[in-house]
Amino acid sequence: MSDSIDKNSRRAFLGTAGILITGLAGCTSTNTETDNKTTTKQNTTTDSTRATSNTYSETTTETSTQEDTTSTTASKPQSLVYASTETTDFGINLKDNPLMGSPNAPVDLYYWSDYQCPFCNRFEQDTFPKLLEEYIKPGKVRLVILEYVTIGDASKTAARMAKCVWRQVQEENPDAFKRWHASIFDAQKKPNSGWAIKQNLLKITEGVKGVDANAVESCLPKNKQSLSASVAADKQAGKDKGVNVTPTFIFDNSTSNGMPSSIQGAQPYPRFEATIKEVMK
Amino acid sequence: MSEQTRVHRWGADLQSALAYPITSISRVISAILIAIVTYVLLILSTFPEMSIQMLGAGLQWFDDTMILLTENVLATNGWFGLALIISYAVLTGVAIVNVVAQISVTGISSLSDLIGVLPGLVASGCASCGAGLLGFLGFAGAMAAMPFHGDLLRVGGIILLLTFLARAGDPRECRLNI
Repeated sequence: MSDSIDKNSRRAFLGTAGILITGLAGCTSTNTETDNKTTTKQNTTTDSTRATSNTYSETTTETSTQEDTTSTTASKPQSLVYASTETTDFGINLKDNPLMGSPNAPVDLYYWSDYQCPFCNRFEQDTFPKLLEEYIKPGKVRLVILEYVTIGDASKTAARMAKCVWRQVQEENPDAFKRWHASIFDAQKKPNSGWAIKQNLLKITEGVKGVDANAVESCLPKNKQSLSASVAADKQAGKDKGVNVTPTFIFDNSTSNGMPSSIQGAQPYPRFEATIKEVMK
Repeated sequence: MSEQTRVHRWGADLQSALAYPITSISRVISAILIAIVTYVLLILSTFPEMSIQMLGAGLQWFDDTMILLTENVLATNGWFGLALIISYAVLTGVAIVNVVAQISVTGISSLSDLIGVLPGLVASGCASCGAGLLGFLGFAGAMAAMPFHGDLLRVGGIILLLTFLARAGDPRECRLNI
């Protein structure tokens, strides 16, 4: 329902833009879809996905009731967000990168983004919540979050801060990274307008449950070299795979012989769905 | 010719050039159609990779692509950036209608005018959409590295087009510099 309203308003927007070309001025478009990706509860886990990921099916039940009490230890259920030190079949080293979804998911989705990139924000607001519900939580797709800094110095600051936050929370409270990540995108303004300077990002961080802003602040200068190296490694990994814009998504099914597929830009959810179905074959 | 007279003449010629397409219904329609096509091309070129993927998946994605990319221009460059793209599209419509008129009036023999037209259009086109194409060619972050996210380039392109239009004036009139 809201999608159809949104679609209609977009079409109205396009029509108005056409009129603009002829010399008139004035139209607007707003994104009214609310951000529910940090609070959405897990509703269903299909039998087929249980079969592919027993560990994760326990986890999703856990996250549906108490998202913050998860951890990565073997004795506790797997969190929705978790760390890994493996290098995937696709050749991406996952150390220092947040993962989301079942470790046994047949499709890996590598997501390169820049916190200042408007189209990354569009993906976060529009497509990600649906992707999370339909593919990531049911254990069909595992999301790998990677940095690809292109827009400016503030993007570097945000990317390094993301690494700091992840290092801080990955052991005890990895889901806090998801909240931080979403909060930064929610606060996004025009690129290089000053919204992503260190002090403002720290201020946003203070409001994120489970993340210690003071620890993040001290982490940045203390680990400057390793943080920069980690951000640069993400970008280099992207370049090696042909990434040159943000956001870029590469879908890889390690269990099939098919070629990986990619999506560039904030394409609508059905395009993601079609690509995942294609890669799953 | 004094400086004041020259500026006055420049302004009058520009006004004549801009007014020519609205002297008949067919010219108005032609200018609008060219402007729309130009706008579509400019918007698609702001993110060529995405445009190719979306349109490659089917023409049913055309409107979504246009809306998403227009919204992205708004989010990145604001209303000023979008206004520049629209201005360039409108000016291109005017310029092409004027060029066609000039050729029909003076014939193809008026090569000096054509030489004046083509670089103007190409240069302004490149200036306006080149930022997106740079990204497509592998220069990641080219847009961000440009002053005001490419807006300065777009302003340069529009100035070039206005200069061309002022230089050509009303395409039905021969201009004598005395």
